[in-house]
Amino acid sequence: MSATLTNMVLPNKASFHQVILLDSDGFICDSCESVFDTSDFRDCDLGDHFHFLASEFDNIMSSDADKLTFSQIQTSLACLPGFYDYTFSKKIIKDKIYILWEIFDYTDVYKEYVKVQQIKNELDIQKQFILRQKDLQNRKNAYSSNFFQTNYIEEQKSKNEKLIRKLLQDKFGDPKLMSDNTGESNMDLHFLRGHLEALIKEVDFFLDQTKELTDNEIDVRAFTNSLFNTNDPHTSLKNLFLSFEDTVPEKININKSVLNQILSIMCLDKTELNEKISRTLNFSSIIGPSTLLSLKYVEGAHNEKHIGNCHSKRIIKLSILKSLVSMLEGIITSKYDDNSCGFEVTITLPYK
Amino acid sequence: MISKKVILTGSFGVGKTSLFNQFVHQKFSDKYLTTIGVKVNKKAVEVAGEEVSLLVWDIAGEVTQDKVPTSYFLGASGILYVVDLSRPLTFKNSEEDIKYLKELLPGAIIKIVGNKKDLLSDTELTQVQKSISLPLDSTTSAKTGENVKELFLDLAKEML
Repeated sequence: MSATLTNMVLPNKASFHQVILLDSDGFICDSCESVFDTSDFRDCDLGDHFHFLASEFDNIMSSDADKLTFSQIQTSLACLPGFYDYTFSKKIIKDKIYILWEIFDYTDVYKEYVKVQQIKNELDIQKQFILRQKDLQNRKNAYSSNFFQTNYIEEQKSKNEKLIRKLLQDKFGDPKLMSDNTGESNMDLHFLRGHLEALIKEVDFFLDQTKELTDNEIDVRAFTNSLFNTNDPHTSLKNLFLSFEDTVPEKININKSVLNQILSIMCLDKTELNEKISRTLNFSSIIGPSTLLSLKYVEGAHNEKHIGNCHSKRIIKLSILKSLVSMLEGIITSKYDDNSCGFEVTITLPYK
Repeated sequence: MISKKVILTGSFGVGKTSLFNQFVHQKFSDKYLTTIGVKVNKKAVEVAGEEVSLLVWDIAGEVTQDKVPTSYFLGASGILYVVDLSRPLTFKNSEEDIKYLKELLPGAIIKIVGNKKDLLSDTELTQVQKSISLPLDSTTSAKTGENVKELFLDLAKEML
């Protein structure tokens, strides 16, 4: 539109041109009447009808400028319904100051100009509105995106925390049930809390790295298992009550203080016994309790292919057995069993 | 009677003519008609028991005030710098424009007016007010007439 405005050629001459002579009080002295008839406005205060004059006459009178020009003036008068340019210049006639008011009628020219200006302004307003809507939409999208991402991450964290709690509870039981005012329980709780915090940090790290829940679940499981799930029987047994050197299986030292615990477990709770040490000492049956405690142990119940792998474990198991039986003044009997492909060891202990 | 020249200025389409018509004629039209040049009208108001004739100049909107002919501002006692609250671009240059007008008319009372208040919710209005670098002296609606008369009366009072 600016090109249209630039290229628009305005005629130099107005359609009509009127000259009015005003005295120093603003009354009409003379006029050529080519634009409008001034007869209705003679002998009255022009300012009451021509608000422009009411506003500017004092300024014009006090101005030092030779000529003052005002463009594109509109009035509310029926006799001047269009667009006019005014010029004012001071004239001294017979020692009196007069104002020569020239009116140029540019109505036809400015009507075209208004049309173009109207279209230009409407387009500009429309453009501003579209830009505003775009800006608002962009902000909304950015907010939604940010909001979604934040929520998503928080949701993943929450899910993973729940998962960790479940894994820990599966492993250690309900932490609430462990808080029985014992030092050991409190230590367990501290331990759990410490690991929980470590795991949550780990989860945060995973979240930052992958942002994928499924991957995180796998990672968290693997991480948790690596921390808490020990399948090594040596470590399990060692952690329970025995101390020995892995590399010297023939020389086993059993702590006497835990011997009674082992015996009571053996006699009273087979399930717990199996849970605690079945991986090391695979008792097939427990007979008793009576004056004698008889335990049958099948050694070497395995396939040929397992012999090599189980060799070191078997030596340790027999060493533990021999030490135990010796300490308890018991008897070990054994026989070869063809069906089970190994030795059946029976231990007989005096029960007190 | 005291006469005071008041100029309505600001960017195009902000509602200067609508404020002018609402104040002078108590009329409003939804149709947008571009103003070119200047329209002058007179309205007498009473301020503190004194009658004041306000000669209100409604001039064509320009994006920046330095494009308005300086002869228009000659002898002005009050300036109403109008912005459209629903169009942020209309108050983009407000700081520079006000600075320019203050230099041009050191003795004049200048008020910044946020028009088209009816198009905004209260929350939006608060956000807009925060986003304008200079504080608004008044928020108006030429459509409903809200605060229009008060705006001119306050200005007349300050100009006396």
